[in-house]
Amino acid sequence: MNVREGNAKLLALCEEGWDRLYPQEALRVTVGMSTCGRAAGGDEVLEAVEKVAAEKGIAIEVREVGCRGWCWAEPVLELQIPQGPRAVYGHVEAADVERILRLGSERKVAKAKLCGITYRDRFELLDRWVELAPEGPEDIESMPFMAHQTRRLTAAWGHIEPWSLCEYAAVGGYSAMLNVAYGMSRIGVINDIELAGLRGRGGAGFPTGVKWRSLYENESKQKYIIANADEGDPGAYMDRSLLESNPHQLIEGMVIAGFVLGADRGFVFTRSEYPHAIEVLNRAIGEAEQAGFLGKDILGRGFDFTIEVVCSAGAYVCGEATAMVESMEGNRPSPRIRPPHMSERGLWDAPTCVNNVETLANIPIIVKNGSEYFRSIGTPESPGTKVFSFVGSIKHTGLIEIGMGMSVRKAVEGIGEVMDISAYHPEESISAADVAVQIGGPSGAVLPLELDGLTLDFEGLRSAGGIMGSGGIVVLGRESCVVDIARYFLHFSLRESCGRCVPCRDGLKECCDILDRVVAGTACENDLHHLETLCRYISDTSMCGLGKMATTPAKSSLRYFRDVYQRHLEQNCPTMVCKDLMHFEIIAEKCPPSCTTCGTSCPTNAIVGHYGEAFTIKQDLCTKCWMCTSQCPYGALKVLPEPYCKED
Amino acid sequence: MNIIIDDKLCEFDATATILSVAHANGIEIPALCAHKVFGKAGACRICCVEILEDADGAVLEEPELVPACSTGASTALRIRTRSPRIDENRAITVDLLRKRVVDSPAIRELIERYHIYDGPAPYNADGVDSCVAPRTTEEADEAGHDGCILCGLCVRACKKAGKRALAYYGMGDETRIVKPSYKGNTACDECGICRKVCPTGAAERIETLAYGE
Repeated sequence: MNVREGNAKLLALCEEGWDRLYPQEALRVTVGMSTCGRAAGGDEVLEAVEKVAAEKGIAIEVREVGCRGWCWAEPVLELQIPQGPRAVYGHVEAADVERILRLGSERKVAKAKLCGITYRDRFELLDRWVELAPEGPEDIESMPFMAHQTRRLTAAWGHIEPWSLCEYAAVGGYSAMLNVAYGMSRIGVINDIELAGLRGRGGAGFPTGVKWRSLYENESKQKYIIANADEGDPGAYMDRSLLESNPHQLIEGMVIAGFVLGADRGFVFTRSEYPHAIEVLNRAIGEAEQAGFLGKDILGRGFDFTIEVVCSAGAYVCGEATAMVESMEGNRPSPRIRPPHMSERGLWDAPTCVNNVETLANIPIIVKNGSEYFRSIGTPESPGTKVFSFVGSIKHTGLIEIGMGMSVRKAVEGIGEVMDISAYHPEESISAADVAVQIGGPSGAVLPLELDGLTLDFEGLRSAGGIMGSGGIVVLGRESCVVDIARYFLHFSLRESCGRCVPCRDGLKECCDILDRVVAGTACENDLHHLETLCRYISDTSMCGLGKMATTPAKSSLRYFRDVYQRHLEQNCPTMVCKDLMHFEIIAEKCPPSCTTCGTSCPTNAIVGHYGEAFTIKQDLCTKCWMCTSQCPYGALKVLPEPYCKED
Repeated sequence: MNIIIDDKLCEFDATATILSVAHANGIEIPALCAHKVFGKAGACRICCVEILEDADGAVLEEPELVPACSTGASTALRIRTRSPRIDENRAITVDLLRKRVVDSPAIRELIERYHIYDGPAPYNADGVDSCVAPRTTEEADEAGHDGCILCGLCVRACKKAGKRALAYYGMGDETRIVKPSYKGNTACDECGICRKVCPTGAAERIETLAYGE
């Protein structure tokens, strides 16, 4: 196959995909069916779509798609009207489908549950369609959730069918691979990546170009590429969404990596907890192999490359490159001593390139558009965009892709919008400014939202004492206690430690013991000093990244929220999360004799009393689940931010 | 090649580690898990030393702490084996190990031989006493550590002897060393090398992990 034939093949695929994306006659209906969509009820919506179309005789083309990052709006349904706009609906229920499809078949946009509309080409006038949806359809790009985002990597997520090769080709896929196979020199690709300044998206931010160059210069005959999709951070799911929404991005990136670095085998190391992602990825690999974009003699260039999916057995430490390689070889996942580095001796003693899936998925973007385009957003040190998963007490949870260097405050307030949950707490407990963010999972820091100069890039987070991590942002509003969060993450790291080196295994245990005491209100001032010393010791002496970074949540919360720790020493948890430091009481005057709501709602039968008189709480049975407070219609339950003391 | 350890100029060949160079030149660095024959594990972290000048001769602003057992001597030009930071780290490590094995002759010997701080008075700059809450023998027994400090010498020795009868099991602070036994079959032939290398005598009590039944 020569250049011309290769181009013709891709063009044919593009046209096929274009016809699928924008059918001439039928309505194209897509339902978000990634893990989040399914959990929210995507299955029922999809079923309803097929049923309604069959009953009403509406010509439709149904596609299961991945996640567009709008987790707050799942299940999401997208409707493409032939030669018309594309409408996106959120929170769709099976009952809504009928109306959406019926109006759609009349080339109208139903306005109920409509999130926004967009156009295949943006020259078309928005006004033409406004009358069809009188409330004024919002352009998707200008929605508050989308306006601050720069969607490059995620542009096609939730739009194209994840495993479909031709739909990916229709949105510009595989053209970078063609460039590399026929035109660019191998070193040219590495130069481009170095100029673009791409840094590892897995957390440490190591320059990808440097890593690739050292592998390129290694003359070993056998090399391997590993895509790291073993994302175990609580609250992070970018890698899963990438695999479920557009796995061809990763495949293309890996083929380019294989071609440039001279490797003929690639592995995607993912988690067994992601069955749907594995299914989608395998299907995509199958399509790519069938088209000759993967396997033997790719594009007639005499270059072989295969991709295998490897499933982790579930240890968090497998995300560390050396432990991952140990695990793939069939051993206990315990980090290796470095040096030698992975690029010298990795999997089965061959030079191995381990990159995060998001890093690899960025490669086609750089190759296709050049380093200038990649650098056009982000900071000089951290160029490009980064996908973050956005969870916690915000209205718009989901995946966001923003140019690096955006301030955390802008992201949280502009894109996420902090939830107001003041009803939970009495006014005196904590001010609204006390919103904290936890960035980067168990190795990341707990930082105040109001911190000056806190930006979402490698340098900004490092100077604040945190790390980027894989990119999970947890917004901690007034319902989360920073000490409790630090304690949770340290316990997580301890549980997931491989148990080999003393500081990580025994030192973390000691830290956890101290934090347990703080949360229980039995700690003293000395404990905080000890905690600080231990944190420094653990990050000083641990063997691998997991141990070195494991104390960051404790260290950062001690640095920025010392007052909260101090109040715990005084047996007071300002947010009333720590269960040992609060209790409930029933105000007898407010409790009407004929109501038994709290008693029946209590799961542990801790609320007792007789019909006709005020109920009382048996404190030793109470598990502090807040059920009674949320059920009481009279506001008779009072939360006291202090431990319960038995009356003598 | 040359390296300066504690102001002493030492010669070494390319494959040597900092620990082996130091020991060859009579400079003492405490080490628990490294072994001349059975290799390094990088587990005890008590051999950590500070790099003052890296291989390019650049003076580091903040000395870099590295384990002497698993760092090649060629990665630095000048290192030191004692400093307040190193001493404090060693004291904490010893305290943490003593939580596992309250009264072990091996650790006592380590403390005495290398003058690691041992006692109730402050051992760090802040004037704070030991940050590790001590434990009694009974409490340590209750925690189920069985006197093992998880240096992994027995596992490595067993592997070197060609048997691979021992393995790490569990995660985090519940990690322990077991002898897996599949349907009553184990690779162990009671050669006793694990008991010979064990610094604390815990290898006498390695539990058998039966599975496959």
